[in-house]
Amino acid sequence: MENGKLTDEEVHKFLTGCENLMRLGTHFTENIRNALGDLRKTYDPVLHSNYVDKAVVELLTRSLGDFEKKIESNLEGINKICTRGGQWLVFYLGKSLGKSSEMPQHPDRSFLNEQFKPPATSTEQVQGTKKMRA
Amino acid sequence: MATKYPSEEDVSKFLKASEDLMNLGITFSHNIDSAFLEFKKTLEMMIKSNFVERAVVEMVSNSFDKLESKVKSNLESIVNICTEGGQWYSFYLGKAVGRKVDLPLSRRPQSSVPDVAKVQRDS
Repeated sequence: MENGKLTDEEVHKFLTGCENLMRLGTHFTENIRNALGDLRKTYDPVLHSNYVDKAVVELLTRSLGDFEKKIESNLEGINKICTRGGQWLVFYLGKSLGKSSEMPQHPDRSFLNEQFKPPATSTEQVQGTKKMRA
Repeated sequence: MATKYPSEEDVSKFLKASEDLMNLGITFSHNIDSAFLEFKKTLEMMIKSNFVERAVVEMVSNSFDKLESKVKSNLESIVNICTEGGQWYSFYLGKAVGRKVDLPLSRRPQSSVPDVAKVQRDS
């Protein structure tokens, strides 16, 4: 890479690293979801018990519900970045290197910059990203 | 982008898009953090009140502490991916098209992306 060019091996390693990183992101979001599930497991029995005043039960139930909704919608956003976004990153790195790359399976680009207009899939460029890395 | 190689303009747009994408990830993480703090505030008020039996206060607090530690550590990791990972991506994409791009490692001596750092050392 000293002369500014990337070798195939470097590209392969980087693409693998990129893929692993995105997978890790998905894993982290899943951990947060599970932690929230664990909290529910404790809170639900408590809220249904007689140890908490009814007024507080209502307030806490609503507060917990709002909290879960916010967490879920934001986790969903992060997940999209890690899955679909990650595929686009790999696709464009491949394109920049002049290699044939497969368009990501999810053509939803709504989360990408509006001004960015990726190309339509052409038959000559459709080859597996995995082949590209081979 | 009809040709095999993307144009300079397309590369710039994509670098901007990938940066925006990573910033979006950070924003989502901050939103989770804010929602968490909001819920924590409500919960603490309730726990301190007399409307919750002492017997369950400890259980509820412990459960919340566990959630807090898990959420914080995982969010931190997600933000790391979005910041450092995004910089490494821009660096490699820039390199791929022959642009002079700052090495993220120079700003952060300890990279959290070991594979990429290894590629750098090996070259």
